[in-house]
Amino acid sequence: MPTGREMLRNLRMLVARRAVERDLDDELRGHLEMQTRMNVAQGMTPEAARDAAYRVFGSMTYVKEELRAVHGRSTAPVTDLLGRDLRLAARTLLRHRRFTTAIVLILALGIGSATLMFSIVSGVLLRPLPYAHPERIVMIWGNLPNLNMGFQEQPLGGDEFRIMRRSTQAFQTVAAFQTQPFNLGTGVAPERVDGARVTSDFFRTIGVRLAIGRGFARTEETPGRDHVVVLSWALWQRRFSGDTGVIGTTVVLNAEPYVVIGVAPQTFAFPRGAQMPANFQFPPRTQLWVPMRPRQSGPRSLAVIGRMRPDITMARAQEDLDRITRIEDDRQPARTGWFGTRAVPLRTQMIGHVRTMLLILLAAVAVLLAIACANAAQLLLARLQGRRKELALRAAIGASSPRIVRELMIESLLVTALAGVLGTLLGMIGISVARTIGPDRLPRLATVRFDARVALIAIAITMLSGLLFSLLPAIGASHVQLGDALRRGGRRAGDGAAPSPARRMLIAVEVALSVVLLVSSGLLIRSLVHELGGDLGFEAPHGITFEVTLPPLSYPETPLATSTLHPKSVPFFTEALQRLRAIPGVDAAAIGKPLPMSGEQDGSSFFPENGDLRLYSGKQRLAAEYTVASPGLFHALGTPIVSGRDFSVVDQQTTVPVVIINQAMGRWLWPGRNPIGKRLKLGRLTTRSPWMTVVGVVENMKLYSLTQAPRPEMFVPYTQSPFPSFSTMQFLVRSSLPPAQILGPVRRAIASVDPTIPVARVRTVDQLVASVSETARFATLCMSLFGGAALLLAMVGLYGVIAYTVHQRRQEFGIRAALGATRWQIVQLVVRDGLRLTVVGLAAGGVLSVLAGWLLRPMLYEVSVVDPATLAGAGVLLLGAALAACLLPAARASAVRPRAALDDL
Amino acid sequence: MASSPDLLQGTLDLLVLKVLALGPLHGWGIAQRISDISEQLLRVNQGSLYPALHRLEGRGLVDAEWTMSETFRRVRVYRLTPAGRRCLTRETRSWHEYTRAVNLILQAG
Repeated sequence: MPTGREMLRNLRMLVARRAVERDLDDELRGHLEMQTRMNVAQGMTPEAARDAAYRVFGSMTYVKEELRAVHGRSTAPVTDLLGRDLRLAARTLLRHRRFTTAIVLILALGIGSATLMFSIVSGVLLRPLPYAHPERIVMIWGNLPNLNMGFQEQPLGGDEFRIMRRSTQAFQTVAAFQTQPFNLGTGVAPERVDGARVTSDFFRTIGVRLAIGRGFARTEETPGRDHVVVLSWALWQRRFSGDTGVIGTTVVLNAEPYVVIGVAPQTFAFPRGAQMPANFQFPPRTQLWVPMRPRQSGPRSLAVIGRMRPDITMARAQEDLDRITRIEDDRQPARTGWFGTRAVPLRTQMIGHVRTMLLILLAAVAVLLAIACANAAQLLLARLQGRRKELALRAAIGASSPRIVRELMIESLLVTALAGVLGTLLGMIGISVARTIGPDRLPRLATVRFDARVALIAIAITMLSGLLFSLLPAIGASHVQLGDALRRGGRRAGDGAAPSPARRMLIAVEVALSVVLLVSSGLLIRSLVHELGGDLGFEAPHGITFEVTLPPLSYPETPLATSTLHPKSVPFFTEALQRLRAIPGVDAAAIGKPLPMSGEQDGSSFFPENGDLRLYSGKQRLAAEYTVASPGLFHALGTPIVSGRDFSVVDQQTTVPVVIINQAMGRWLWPGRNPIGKRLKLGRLTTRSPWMTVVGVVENMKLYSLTQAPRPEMFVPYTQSPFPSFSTMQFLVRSSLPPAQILGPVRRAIASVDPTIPVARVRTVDQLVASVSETARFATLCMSLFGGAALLLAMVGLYGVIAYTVHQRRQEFGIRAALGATRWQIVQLVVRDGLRLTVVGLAAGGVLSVLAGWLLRPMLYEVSVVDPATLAGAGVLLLGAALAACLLPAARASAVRPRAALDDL
Repeated sequence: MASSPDLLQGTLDLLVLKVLALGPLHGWGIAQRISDISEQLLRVNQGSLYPALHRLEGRGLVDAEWTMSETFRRVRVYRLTPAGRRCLTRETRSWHEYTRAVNLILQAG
């Protein structure tokens, strides 16, 4: 819509142009007049004089054209020309509104999804981590290949970390950290916040500068001086309204005073759960950091990061770690071996587990974009065919071939630009949708946003698709055969112009690519169905789960192997369970740490008595999943006890230590024998831990993933658990009442035991299960959307071609009808034509989708790469869609009256 | 017209500048003057003259202004600018060199 100012300017330009034209006229006319007068003076009659003058002068139009060219050169003819072409193109596109809309929507769909996927990949995979020299940060894990804990990243012990910190040559700094929930605040109902205990070099190693205040000093690792805390930006904003005066003030954490010394920068929440291995049980976001001194003994529980020196490569860093391992091995031959260590780039650690999925989705979206381009191209070809007569005519009266091609290209460009804008908008919407529905386990998703980089990506994608879709038709247009088209066009409009081979080929390609996407989404859906429908080993009971954290000051932890374990914690849990079970409507209440599917994973090495001797070859140590449980956990989960008994109130500190194992563990350790009554202990044979007697065998449960194979699991009663870290416990309350209704009484029950203990992380079991399958569901959802879009596009494309053919063959159908063909025969004719294209595409797509299935392998669960059911399903779906696309045109064809044969003659 | 030799590209510009060096003139006058001085040997194609004039104007070698003719018509009169004069000197010299060279070759043994 031109503004007043613009209109005024246009008017002024118009006036100026008029003036120039008038001047040219005057000058040339003056010339003629003078010539005429001279001729008269030489004796001619006025008429003859004027004629002669004109003759000498030549074509007035020609001279004026030349003059305009001279002036044109100074008044930017290129923009003028482009402007004219653009206006022309816009007019043409507006005239064919339906065509334009269709093509813009199709391209926008492709561009939008590609932009969305590229933005996610760029934000998650490509953007550098927001730390100083992030490429130099690595995570260092324990690596004892013989110890099969079920996860690769094994934590380090305090002494191991201290030796590493002392003797490393490849690292500037190393820091250890572990998660620790805190109850923040005083008195009744404090807030539970997720924190981390970190060694003093933590912030230096990760490479962030605190927003305000300072990080930790080495001296603050010392107990007694370690009551200092760094707050996250979010916590600082929420609890202290962003007041900078917070530095130096005191906050209460777990009933102890801590001095605030710093606030982390805005986005910093490292370690985040989504970026760390599950067995460390990191919360989604860390909200505060306190210093820690690495413990001399105790279970290995430390995650370690290191910052490499600037000139050090990954390989050299690993060599340095191996060197430390060798020295320690030699120094302590009595030990069964120093823990080996393995360095992993932080980036790999954070995004490695979603990389494959994202790249597969990216490939899928590229295929979708290709389909959209093919569809747009064939639409363009169709319209070009419709315009053959017009183009041929224009070529005949002198429009140059490059000129026509240029016009078509400009039309395509305009369409692409429109589609690009719309597609980018779609992509932006998609980004915000993806951020809300995207899985928590997809790291950095929250930081994906529409920025300059994404804009560039969108522009690049738009240009690429514009090129892709307009190139073929433009080439076709430059070959418009003049005489041919005119002859046909002259007598019998459009007759015999069957869809070009290029167009048929495009349709077949479209169908083939759609098959690929449909098969891919089919495989993922079937895989997900297997995952969700698989036997979990427990029911997903109605009810809620939650966590409580006991502050160590009022619930002191006890060192290993003392006479009484957790003198205050155990009574708290026992009392809490009793009160929870007393709530009306509660069917069962139990403790499980970790609860299945809570996103956490715990493991322990152990030593079995009289086990299968083949297990002890070499230095091998055995390990199994380790869960602290209360009586009634299996009942609450609905897990059958196969043999033996559940824990009971009898199992106390003073009675015989007991353990329950799953079937997988029993078969592994004592194949063919009854495990009940067998004994095992945690750690190694030499470890000072008590022998535990197997009292029960339960069915295999899936604990941390829907796709995991059955693994050995052991369960130890909380009343006897020898692990000192006992502060956080997970509860499961089973009830048929709605979760919201049960939560209030649950909070009151816990508060009635100890009002200072908050109830945190309330989730339903369904939510737990859902969160574990989140990434798979996200991938399946995306792929299914792509597949559906592809199907729709293929259908539209096919419809376009068939409908066009039917329109072109009206006369033929009329003649056939006149000669006695039944309507059914004509329908068959049309449908057969459409199906032929589809079948060619299906065949090609079938072959391609085997390749796609092979690429999808890492994401498949209990589905083979070549899945006949999926292939057949995709085929049937496409054939059905093709049939549907043919039906309307076929009906139209069969309705052609014999008289139509005469209509256009 | 057909008999008049084609003016070499660029020669017309030189002639126009030379004629204008003798005094301001309008387009018709320039054509007439060229024809007169060359004893009707050279006839200027109007289709070339006006574009040439406008080109020279664009290059700043000539100035043009509208005046009223004796018959009260608007007439566009062209006048040499100092830059045009310098250009004329330069071009004249190179023309002489050029024709001398061509003559030498044509008169060679």
